Amino acid sequence: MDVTIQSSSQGVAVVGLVGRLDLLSAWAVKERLAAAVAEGHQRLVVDLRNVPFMDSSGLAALISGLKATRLAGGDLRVACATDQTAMILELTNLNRVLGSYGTVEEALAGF
Amino acid sequence: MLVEETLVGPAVLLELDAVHAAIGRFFGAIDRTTSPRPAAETRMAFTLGVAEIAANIVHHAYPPPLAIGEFKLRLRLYPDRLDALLIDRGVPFVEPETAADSGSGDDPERGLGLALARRTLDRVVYTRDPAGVNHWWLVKRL
Repeated sequence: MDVTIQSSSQGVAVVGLVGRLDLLSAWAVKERLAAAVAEGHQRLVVDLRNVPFMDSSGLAALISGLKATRLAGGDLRVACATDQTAMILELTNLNRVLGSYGTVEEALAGF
Repeated sequence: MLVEETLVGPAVLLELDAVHAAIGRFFGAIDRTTSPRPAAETRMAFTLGVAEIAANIVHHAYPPPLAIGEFKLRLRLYPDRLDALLIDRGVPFVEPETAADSGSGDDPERGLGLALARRTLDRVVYTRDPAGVNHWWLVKRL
């Protein structure tokens, strides 16, 4: 899985993921999210538009990132969920906890 | 049985790519040979359930110092259901004592995958036969 991190004009980091977010990639994503927080990005938007599949390990990576941001006084939002990632977020009610937005711009607004 | 796809491979993380490829071939064969085709929601639910159980096998079936063994995956389409069988010769599956959402322990997500499989599929049946073989039978009704 490819992970890119870009700071937005609002001082929020947008994390772009490309590929399956599963047991194979979750550890690396978890580490990258933790590193982003450690580097001062307490507010993260995870862009899921290029994630065709996410499993429970991927969810755990996002939850870990959420905990890291909140411990640092920030928060984590997800944007552009695909059909499959939206399904698993809704199944677990994490769409409410994480805040799931249709676009990155919507996630950035008021963040 | 209308369509079948099988996979035999080592129970290692990288083999999860092969599992997804096998599921892709399975649905490709269904699209070429049958009608009506399973709905997108049905495919997503089946894929998630199969992938979660495969990940569980890769993660837990052959703990050290056990040598890495094989697992088998068989996917079938019947007129009324999508059906998967996953087989390994690893340690017996033990239901996690910790609730999936408790967040405690050193592996808090342990159990979440199985809970998701049970939520999305119509049947998730685990058995271990007298020869020490683990069987996971998964069903998603059409």
